[in-house]
Amino acid sequence: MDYKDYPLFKLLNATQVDNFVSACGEITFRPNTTFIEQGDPGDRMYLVLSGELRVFLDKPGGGEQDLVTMTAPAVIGEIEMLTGDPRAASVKSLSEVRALEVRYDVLRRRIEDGDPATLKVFFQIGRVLACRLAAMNKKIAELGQKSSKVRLDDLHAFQQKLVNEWTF
Amino acid sequence: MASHFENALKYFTDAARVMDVSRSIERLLVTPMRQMKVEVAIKRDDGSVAVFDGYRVQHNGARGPFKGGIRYHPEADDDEVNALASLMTWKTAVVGTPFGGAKGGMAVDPRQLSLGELERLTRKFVDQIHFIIGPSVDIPAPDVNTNAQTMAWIVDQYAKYHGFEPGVVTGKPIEIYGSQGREEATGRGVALCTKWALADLGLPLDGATVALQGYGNVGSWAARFLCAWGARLVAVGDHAAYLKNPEGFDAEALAEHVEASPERSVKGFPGADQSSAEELFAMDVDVLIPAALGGVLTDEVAAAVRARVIVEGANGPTVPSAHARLVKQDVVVVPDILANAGGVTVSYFEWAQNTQRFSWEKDDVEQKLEKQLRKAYDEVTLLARKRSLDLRTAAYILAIREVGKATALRGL
Repeated sequence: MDYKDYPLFKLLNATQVDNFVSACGEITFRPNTTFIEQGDPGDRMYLVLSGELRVFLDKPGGGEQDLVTMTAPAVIGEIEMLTGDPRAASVKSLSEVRALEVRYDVLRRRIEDGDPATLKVFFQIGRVLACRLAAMNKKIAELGQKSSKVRLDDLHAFQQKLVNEWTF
Repeated sequence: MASHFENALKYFTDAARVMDVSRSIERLLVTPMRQMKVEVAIKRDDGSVAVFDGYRVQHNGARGPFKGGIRYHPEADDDEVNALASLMTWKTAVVGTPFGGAKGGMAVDPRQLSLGELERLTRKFVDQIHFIIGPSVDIPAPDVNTNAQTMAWIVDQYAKYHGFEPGVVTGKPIEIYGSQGREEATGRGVALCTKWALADLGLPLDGATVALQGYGNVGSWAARFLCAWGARLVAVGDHAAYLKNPEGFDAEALAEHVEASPERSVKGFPGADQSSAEELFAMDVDVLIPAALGGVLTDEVAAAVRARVIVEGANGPTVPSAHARLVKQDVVVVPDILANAGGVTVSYFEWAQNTQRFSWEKDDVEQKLEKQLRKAYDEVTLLARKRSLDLRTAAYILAIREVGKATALRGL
């Protein structure tokens, strides 16, 4: 994928994209590289341009628990970069992965300098996170609805059905 | 593997839809009564400390004390244990054993632990769940990677809290209140279901050809009974090899070969030709018995099946879409919750003997097993005939009916 088509750069013009990319630096991971380790400090995020990734948890007592498999374009590690928490999960490349490595200190400096491109990128990140939060809220609401109550006459009707229709 | 559990729930939902059960009742039946999660810490032989997640899920106890195995394997988690617990509710109901459904598990790879570590782990697990198990509460049994020795440790540890109560688990060694006939029970049930299904189709068992996947406890006993009754085992396969022999294998000799082989496989058995899994499932035989893994009968494999009868020795060997295809192809599928319920049935007998403080003769166990399974088989086939259903849907409906009646009678 080309940088100008990358979703987070939607609001940037070509010069701004070039500028932003050269301030960050591209990085390539060979297949089977764990480039984010659970528990490590989350001081950067990765804008994944190509390749496939696996996000997983280290299980207590050994082994790994798969969370999700992601393909480019994807953003990885933006949550801890913003919250300052240690990495919640590990990420491994399944194929060769090409990504832009965006360090928090670089982003901060550019925001303090009032760089409009960086502000636009942040605006897009905000939108991505807001969409995810909205989807999650919807899911929670659905789960809440599912725990519908069983009424006693339901149970009575069920019992009648079992006896009348399904007993020979 | 995860899909195997989704599959189990899919079969339940399909049956509930055929019965036109309301969604709220469906939810009531599918939701477990109690889910317990514990962290089990043990000291390793090298002095370090290791912590493992343990689970016990009690699904529905309307028909009696909870019953279900405890498995040790690295991927065990709450989803898996939940789904398997519900499967036990339906299985115990189909065969009419007076139990509810439960399942337990520990997320551990037992091959990484020494025997001493496994014993400490099992005892520690009992320390943490002893107050929710017991002969009239919840009765565990062996499952994946657990065995009669594991049960012996549980009996011993449980006794420290509650006094000697052998009925707290089943699948115990004969020396400490185990039952005659327990080891071969699941295989015997599979063989009996095969015999009855062939008879219903008007096919003679004498000379019937059988292809079998898996030669462990279930498969090898099923093969031994079927061959003793005149059937011909013409193809067999497991994790290490697939073999065929149109003349028929000597099932006893094959079992001895597996027992003696370091890989515990049929591999290297003399006088047979090499074969493959594809060939085994597509073989022109009367009976096909998957008795190894879940999920082996996919759409593609099912399309090639030429057997008249499939008897599910394994848990969940057939994926739902493949099952629909097999039904369309007029293959009779005797479902897992009926076909491999011989094990839980003799577990019931073991528990009954423990309660009586009396042990039954082997003949007695075998007769009672056959009688109980036959009754279940007749009820399932009757329901299937009356409502033009496949045997699996009929078995689930029978189970839902029994659990539903008990739940409704006891009230909420």
